[in-house]
Amino acid sequence: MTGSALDLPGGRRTPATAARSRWKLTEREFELRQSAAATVSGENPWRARLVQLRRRRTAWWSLWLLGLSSLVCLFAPLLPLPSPALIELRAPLLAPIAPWRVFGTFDFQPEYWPLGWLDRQLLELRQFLFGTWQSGPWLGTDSKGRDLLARIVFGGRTSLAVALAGAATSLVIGVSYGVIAGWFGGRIDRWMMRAVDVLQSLPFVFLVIFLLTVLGARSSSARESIFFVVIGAVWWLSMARVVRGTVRGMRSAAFLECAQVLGASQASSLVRHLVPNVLPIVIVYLTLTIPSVMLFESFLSFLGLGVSPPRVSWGLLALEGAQAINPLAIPWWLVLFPALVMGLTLLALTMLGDGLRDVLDPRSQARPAP
Amino acid sequence: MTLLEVRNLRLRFDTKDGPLQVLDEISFKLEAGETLAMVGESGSGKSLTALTLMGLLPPGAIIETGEVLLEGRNLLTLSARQWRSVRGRELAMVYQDANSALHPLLTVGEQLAEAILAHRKESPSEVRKACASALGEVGISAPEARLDAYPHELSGGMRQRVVIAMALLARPKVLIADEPTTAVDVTMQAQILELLEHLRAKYSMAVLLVTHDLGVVARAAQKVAVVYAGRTVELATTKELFQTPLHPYSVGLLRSAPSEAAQSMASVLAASPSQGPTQSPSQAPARLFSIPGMAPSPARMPVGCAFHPRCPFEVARCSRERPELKAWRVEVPSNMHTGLVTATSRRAACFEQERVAAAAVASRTGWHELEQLWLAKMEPRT
Amino acid sequence: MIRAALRHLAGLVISVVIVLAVSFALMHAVPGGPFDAERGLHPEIEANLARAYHLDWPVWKQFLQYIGPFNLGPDGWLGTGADRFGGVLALDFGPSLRHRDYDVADILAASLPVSFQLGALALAWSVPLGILLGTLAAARAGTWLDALLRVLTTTGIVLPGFVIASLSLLVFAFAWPLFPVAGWSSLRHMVLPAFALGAPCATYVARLTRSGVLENLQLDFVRTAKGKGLGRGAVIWRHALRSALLPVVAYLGPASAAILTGSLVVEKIFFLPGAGTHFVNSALNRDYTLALGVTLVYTVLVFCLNALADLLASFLDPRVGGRQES
Ligand SMILES: Nc1ncnc2c1ncn2[C@@H]1O[C@H](COP(=O)(O)OP(=O)(O)O)[C@@H](O)[C@H]1O
Ligand code: SF4
Ligand SMILES: [Mg+2]
Repeated sequence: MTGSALDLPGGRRTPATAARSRWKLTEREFELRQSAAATVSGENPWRARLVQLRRRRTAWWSLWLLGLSSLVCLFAPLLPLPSPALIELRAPLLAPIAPWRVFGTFDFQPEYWPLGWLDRQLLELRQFLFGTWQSGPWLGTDSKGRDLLARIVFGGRTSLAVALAGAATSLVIGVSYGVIAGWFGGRIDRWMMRAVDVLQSLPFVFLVIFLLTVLGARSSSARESIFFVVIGAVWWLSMARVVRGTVRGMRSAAFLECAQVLGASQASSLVRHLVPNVLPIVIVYLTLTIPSVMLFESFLSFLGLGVSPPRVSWGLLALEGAQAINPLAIPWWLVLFPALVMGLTLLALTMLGDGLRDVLDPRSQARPAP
Repeated sequence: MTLLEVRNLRLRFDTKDGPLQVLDEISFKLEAGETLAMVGESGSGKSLTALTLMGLLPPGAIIETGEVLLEGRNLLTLSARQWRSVRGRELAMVYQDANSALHPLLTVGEQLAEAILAHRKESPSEVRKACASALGEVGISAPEARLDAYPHELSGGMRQRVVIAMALLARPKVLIADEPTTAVDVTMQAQILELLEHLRAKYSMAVLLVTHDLGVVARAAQKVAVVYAGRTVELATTKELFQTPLHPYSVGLLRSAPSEAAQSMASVLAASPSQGPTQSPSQAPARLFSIPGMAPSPARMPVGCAFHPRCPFEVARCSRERPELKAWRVEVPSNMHTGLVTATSRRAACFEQERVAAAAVASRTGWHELEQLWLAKMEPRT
Repeated sequence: MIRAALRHLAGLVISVVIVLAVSFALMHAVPGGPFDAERGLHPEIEANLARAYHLDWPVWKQFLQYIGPFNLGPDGWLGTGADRFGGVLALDFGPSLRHRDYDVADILAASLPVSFQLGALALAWSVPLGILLGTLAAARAGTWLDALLRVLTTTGIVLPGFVIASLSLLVFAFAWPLFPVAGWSSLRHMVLPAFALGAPCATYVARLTRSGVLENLQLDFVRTAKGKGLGRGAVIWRHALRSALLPVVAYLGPASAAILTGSLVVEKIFFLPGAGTHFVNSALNRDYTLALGVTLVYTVLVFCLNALADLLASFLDPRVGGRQES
């Protein structure tokens, strides 16, 4: 479900809602499973879930792949890669050269955009470890002679940062909104959910771009920070919806009433029961949010409205690739490799999301296997 | 020649947790023009048997052995194309749940028309006329108007009638009715049974009536196949069964029928004047009896006779060997008081049939002892 | 049905009002906006702006004028004569801040048809094909055809639209020049953009259809249909597909929203003179009035398409509308 331009907010997920309403019958069962999961099983349910996830091969491998590539992106300045920003007009549009032909050169020049403190330390460590050695143009270079591999890795950092920031914002807003609506119920719930409905049917892409137009007028750094906030603020809608549903289910579940009758205060029962019940579903929706946020970032960057040079992002790489091809020269690597990396990442995220949903979302277990 | 015969049908599902033997030798015969009731608890495999006859088994079902002979032709060896001409035209089915059996987005008329058009070409106006008259025949008023209705616009009883009409449209030789009365209310049940009986007579069809309700059996069927845990445990005429059940499970079923069913039973028995005194409805046990224990699940089928954990007549052999469904020539004491003994050839899958028969006859006057026997059997287990 | 339509309408009104108010406030507040004194625009545009927005009026009056649909006179309440209508609700979005001598409405009138053609073309091929492929995949579930379609749909769903667009450009316009690279003058020009724009939609519809048909094939009414002696084709296409189409129809609303979104990148890649290109450029040039014009038009459009798809879906479903018989 996730991962295409189709999934950008702006369309409601009518089919999904339709599918859910088909499972209405199992709503009660769903609640029971939830409470059972939280209260009955004495031992740690997370261990069992981990085992289950492990059994889903694709999801498990996706998790590893994503973990590894996140590490690579995080420690990118430490790796002996060429500079992603160094313009080398002598060597533009070099086709990929296999590592066994040119493994590396001693041409490294530390040219970057302004780096943060940690990145500067990493960079120093890198120079200490590798000197001026850098890997060869394994994936080729772009029209300004910049190394594509390095740019992909550093572009991945942008995606990672955006994904995490967006996910965090959507987490905070979505969960608090959903918990409030679900907990209070009644009229408050109705109005809050109606607001979500209206928001969900807005063409957000256009509104966000409009906001960026107006707000991010002056500097690109202002634009970038707005951009993070806006992304997070947009992607909380479905999170709010599912959290609200879970909380509502919980509230009507018998065990909570029991807890209240027994004299536990509302607040303590809220926290005690909320976390184990809501956490799984939050994790699932986070993994589903991340790819669509990443996609949106690259979409905006592709339009020239997101990350601006000299920084890189995958969307920017795709844009450069698209602009570099012309009838005379077809630097296919500039189109192909960013596309591959983006596709693989989104695929892995989708697979992981599906696997996590199978394991963590009780509703999906009630569903017959497709 | 027998119209429809099922021989030793065995069926299993292969699941992640190993094979599930859901049918373990189902056998019965259905003659032209008669109604055979297949009785058993829910989960005993009645619906799966019916679906096997129609060739509509769900994916994953594997037929291990057995034959389904329709006028001598084994249906289980048919190709997909041949099946198509059998379904609807030779065998038709009335489904258990009329709500879900009808397509929600097609009108009643469209769905009925398909039943005709699947088998012969006809002009739209003729088809419409045939559909309307079929609706009229099953007792739906203003049939013309109902043709354009969607299923959700009809009441439950009407939907059931529509399903029956649909089954009849291609004039099948055998009508399989899978619990046609479970989903409708009590007054409607009687009407539907009457309707089925009327249609059976009119079109001289054979009817396989699947049910778990002995009242329905008594009212509508001439013969009975009692099914337990995917196995035919007794074959008898309705009268024989109600008079002298040969299988302990049949005995239990008869005892656990609610008094309304007992009344129907009494009327069946009263219809044969040669019989001795029978238990009148007023003598029926006030407390509703139900066979102690639980029906086994296909995943944990007992070894030997599947009924032995619940059977008050159990002997050592029962938990080792499996009784075959055989024709046993038994001397059935048909009347305790006169000591009259009739020798009949009946088919049941039990080692201890004679004891069972004797006890069953005895229980007509003194059910109490039998019930004590049963309860004593269950004591150590509970 | 009428209630649903009214609900959609209410949502539309609310969101348009919100968008208008917020955008007006933002444009006022932001330095460099059309209402900002030091914007340093071309004098001609300055003059246009002053004329259009009555910068000498009080803010509330500016807002009313800005919304429309009636022009406010300089002294009286309403304008008169030919100039009676104005403001956003009268489809008058003011002058463009970057294109001299052009009103936003002119630009929209010239560019929207291109975008609509493109979008309609993309929907027209992708939805039927998606339904076809999805049904075939369900009918042949577990075979090589299903596997192939699964790979295709996964690719279509995982690859962003702009990647599909540049890959198809790379392959079918440069490496293997079947189609022209850019432009919008003949049908041949439209093939690649419409393909790139519709591909994600087609794959999503295919997935939706496949899972719907597979799910329905398990249902009782399909068994009934087989039990009548219908062939596999009739069972799948007439019975299983029919109810699987309802979610697909409901998805048409979100799908067209996604197509509009996707048209931004596709128009950019293929250099099409559509509203998407203008919108992206206006965002880059900070041409607020134009950006707002496109945003408003698309907001209304997405609302209407969503409402239309919903209404169509409920119209096709006889169970909605409550003609229950007692
Ligand atoms: N698709 C299936 N997969 C696995 N087991 C099934 C399936 N369908 C039915 N069964 C099992 O087969 C047994 C008989 O089912 P059924 O024929 O529906 O019983 P009845 O109609 O007598 O109530 C049940 O125990 C049921 O659990
Ligand atoms: S074979 Fe044995 S256990 Fe089975 S029914 Fe007969 S007496 Fe009972
Ligand atoms: Mg059944």
